[in-house]
Amino acid sequence: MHFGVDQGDLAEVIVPNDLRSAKRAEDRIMAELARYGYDSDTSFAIKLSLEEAITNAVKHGNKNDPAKRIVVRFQITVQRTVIMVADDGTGFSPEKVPDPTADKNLERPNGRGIMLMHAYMTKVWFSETGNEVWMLKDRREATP
Amino acid sequence: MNPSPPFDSPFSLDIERAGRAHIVRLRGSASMDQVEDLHRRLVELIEPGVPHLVLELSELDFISSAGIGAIMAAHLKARAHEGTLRMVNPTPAIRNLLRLLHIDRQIGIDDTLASARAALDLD
Repeated sequence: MHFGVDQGDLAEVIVPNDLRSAKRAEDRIMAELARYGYDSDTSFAIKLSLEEAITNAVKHGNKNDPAKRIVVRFQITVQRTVIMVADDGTGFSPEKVPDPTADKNLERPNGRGIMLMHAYMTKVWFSETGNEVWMLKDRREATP
Repeated sequence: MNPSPPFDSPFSLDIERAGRAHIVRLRGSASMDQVEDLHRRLVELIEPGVPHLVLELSELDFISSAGIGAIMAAHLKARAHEGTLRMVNPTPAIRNLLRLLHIDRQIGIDDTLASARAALDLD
């Protein structure tokens, strides 16, 4: 249980390990945000963080292996959104990802996603195994 | 009837040649299912004789770090060909994203297409 949510209370979408398939999970979540009347800035923050988590899962977690899959679980209410993204990979250590805004790393293609998840979501939590990320967005919180 | 999901407008690129530059208008949402195509198309526009790229972003409503990675790849290729990539009039949300990632320190951002054209001496 994370952010006070029981696994059984989460909706689940399981998709093949590619970005076009994973977009289906995103479409479900964005439709729910619209149904609950989330504003543009909050919706932008959630879509961005979800895409960063899924892209990391597809490319770095599952290493673009088409035999693997992505699991997305979510709960959306009037007050907040909780999203979990998991892959079948062996995980990583988030603290070892270099700061993408350091001058020496500005031209590197990787490392921006984790920083953006932390910037745009209220809370972000990685499992010890590093192949599962949980994100919480409190609707009352301003975007950066 | 359910309301339309946000950031769901179709993504498109409108490409125009202007001397030694291509001017590309990005429209809609550059969601994750569009990013590989965006990367390929931007990078292939940079070539000897056409080393400059201007990205008009006023109608682009969403982009992720992967999309920004595509822009950075085009920026690096332009620089390797002694060209320049400039961005024009991003929305406040995307301008903020560029600032957070310090991309605005790497790539010039113009308020108008005219100022980007002038900076690249295209007129």
